[in-house]
Amino acid sequence: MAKLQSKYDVRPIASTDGMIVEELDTELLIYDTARDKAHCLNPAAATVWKHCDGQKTVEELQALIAPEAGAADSRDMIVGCLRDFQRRHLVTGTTGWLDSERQVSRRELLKRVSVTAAVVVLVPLVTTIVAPTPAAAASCLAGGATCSIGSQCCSGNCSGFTCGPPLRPRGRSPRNS
Amino acid sequence: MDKLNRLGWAEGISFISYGVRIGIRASREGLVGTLNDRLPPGWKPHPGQIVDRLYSFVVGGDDPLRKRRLLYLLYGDGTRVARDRELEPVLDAFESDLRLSVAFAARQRVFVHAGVVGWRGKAIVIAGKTFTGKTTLAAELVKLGAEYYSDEYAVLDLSGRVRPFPRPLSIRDPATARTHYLSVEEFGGRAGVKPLSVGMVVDTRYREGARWHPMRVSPGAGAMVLLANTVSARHRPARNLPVIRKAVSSAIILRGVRGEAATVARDLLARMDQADAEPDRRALGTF
Repeated sequence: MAKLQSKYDVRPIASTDGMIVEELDTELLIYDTARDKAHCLNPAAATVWKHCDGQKTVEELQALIAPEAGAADSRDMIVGCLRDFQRRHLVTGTTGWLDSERQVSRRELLKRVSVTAAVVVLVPLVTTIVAPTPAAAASCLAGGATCSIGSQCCSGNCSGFTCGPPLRPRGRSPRNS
Repeated sequence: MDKLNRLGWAEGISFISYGVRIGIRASREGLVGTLNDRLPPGWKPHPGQIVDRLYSFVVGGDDPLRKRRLLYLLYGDGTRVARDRELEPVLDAFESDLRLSVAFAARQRVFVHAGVVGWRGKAIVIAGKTFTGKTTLAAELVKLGAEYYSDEYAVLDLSGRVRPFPRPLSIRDPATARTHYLSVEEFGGRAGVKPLSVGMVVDTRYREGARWHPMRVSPGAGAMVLLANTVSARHRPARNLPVIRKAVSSAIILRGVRGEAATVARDLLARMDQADAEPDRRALGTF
């Protein structure tokens, strides 16, 4: 496979400070304690993240995922993957370089890979959620139900002992919010 | 809190639930004895004076001397939890705050907002937010012979197995938004008692007229669903993550909108039976 060379010598490093990592078969669960976000890395993304040791270059990481895909496709895949990591504070050492790289949407990439690759290629994917507060992970009351304080209502608004609609800042119409 | 402590307290109790010590005190006699039905399942009296959370009821009602009606007030530690002219809404607020406090503070259990039933030695966990139809689906599964575990929390122990949290099913009247409670026996079902490993995690919500075509997703996606509904997600991630991993590692994870609960319940049980008959597929992680 022909390799595309970068003018930068980029060797990404996986951020592990404040991260709780749990392997789930071939996937990876990562909890970011500083931002209270949880990430799920699919097998391809997990492979890349685990190899971001500050030693491997982007070209070496590229070879780890989807060797069946064409050089340009796998380059776009690794760039997209590292961009996802950077946006979620999962890697360091990629600043500057990613800005100089071509940005391809995942949809476009999936379309292209599905047409060109002879076998099924797993595109790196990161799913992220914001960890809920205790109240957000509990039952709440519907509009019209009797309440005593706002946190009991799903809308967060208890007015006149009844759950009302969610409160909005002054001057913003519901359509714009 | 000091100001509260200076008020005269007529009676009090303390109890333990899922390892969390709770105290209740009231400004007038006769209230605490009526609260038993509102306490979490499996509570036991606790003789100690030190508690993790202290509830203080300031009893309201008619004040004949001043010819006015006093508000009922409820404090959780030093913070006001509820205030109402009637006792019933304050008791409702107490019950939901108490359950949440226990779910949050339990050290040996992970509480996930979900409905749970048991089927042939495995648990079906229906995780989701309020008003997604967890109770309705759990009730349908119970009607079909599944054992009832909970309609509010999947209580996971440290090995990832589900423990029962058998409070009565809370059925909402859509017209009045009021909730009424029915015991599992009134549904013609029975409550499960044994801890179960998770056989299936269902990520669904009700949409009128929707057809049930669930997508089978990866265990990682299942873990994210459970984590998104975990009460102590932010406070004990180092404990929660391994527990959730163990819970979903051999489970089928289904995702999709659903229509009527009866059809979905039948399908879920059929899928459980099929997975039982073909354990290789599950072991291989086919999805």
